[in-house]
Amino acid sequence: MSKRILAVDDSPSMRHMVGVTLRAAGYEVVEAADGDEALEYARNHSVDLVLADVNMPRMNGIALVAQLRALPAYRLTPLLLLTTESSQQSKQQGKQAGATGWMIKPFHPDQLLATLDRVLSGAATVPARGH
Amino acid sequence: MNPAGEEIAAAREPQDAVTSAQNLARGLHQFLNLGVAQLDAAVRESDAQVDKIAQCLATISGDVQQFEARLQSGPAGASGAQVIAEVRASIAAAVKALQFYDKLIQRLTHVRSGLAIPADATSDVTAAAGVDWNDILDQVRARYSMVEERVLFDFMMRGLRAEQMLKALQSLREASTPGELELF
Repeated sequence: MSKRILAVDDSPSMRHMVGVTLRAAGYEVVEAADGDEALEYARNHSVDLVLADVNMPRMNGIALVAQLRALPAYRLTPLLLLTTESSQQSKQQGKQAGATGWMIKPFHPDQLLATLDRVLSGAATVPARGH
Repeated sequence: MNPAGEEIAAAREPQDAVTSAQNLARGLHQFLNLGVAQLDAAVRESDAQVDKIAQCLATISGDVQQFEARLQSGPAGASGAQVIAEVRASIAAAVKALQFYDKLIQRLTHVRSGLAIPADATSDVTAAAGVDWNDILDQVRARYSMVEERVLFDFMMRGLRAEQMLKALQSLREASTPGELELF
């Protein structure tokens, strides 16, 4: 069964780019436009990995990571931040919130797929939850 | 000018100065709003076009997957597999290139804020003289989400010339590593 990735970005074109890349590699991709929408989805469905932008309206990516980590089902789930922001201060905030990694945009599809492969192969099994 | 005329002119001077300041504030406000409107129009227009391109890419990618599945179920030709590999490489290049748009929109949005914040602060021409510009500059800087935006802003505040700022920006870009991953 294919892994389910939750792609979170307020930019529709970025969601398209991530979606095209991941679906072509066989992943199931669910899209959300901000942290609020992503959190709502994640609370009600199981997700194998979350790939989120940092700067978004309503709830940003770092707050989303912190909220997800507080949920028992997402304690071990890989949570990656994909952003144009590259300051050490922001990365530190992401790390403290519980992010698995920080990737700087623009991504190259092969690099992104290699990253997902790497973190998913090292991730503990996420408990399956009912829909 | 007779003494009475001089008195009248002297009395008008403060009034003229106020009117002149109000005209300046009104002009600045209109100019800032013009910039905001131009940016809005540019963003809206490119949004629709890029979204269309992204959807096309998604369709092509789906078609390639179907083509690949057909090849696997039928007599697999080496030329067909090579075509798929080439199309995939083109899609990957397009996916990376199209991400310029996300960065462009962020930049334009921040430029827009940089115009809208002082425009709002000067909308009341009588209150414009009391505006705290340091506070406005702090608000503008706080909207930035990229290191290079903050660096350019700080350079501008230090009074660097345009060509010096562009040179600094170029160095920053050369030092940046898009796609870089840091695992925690």
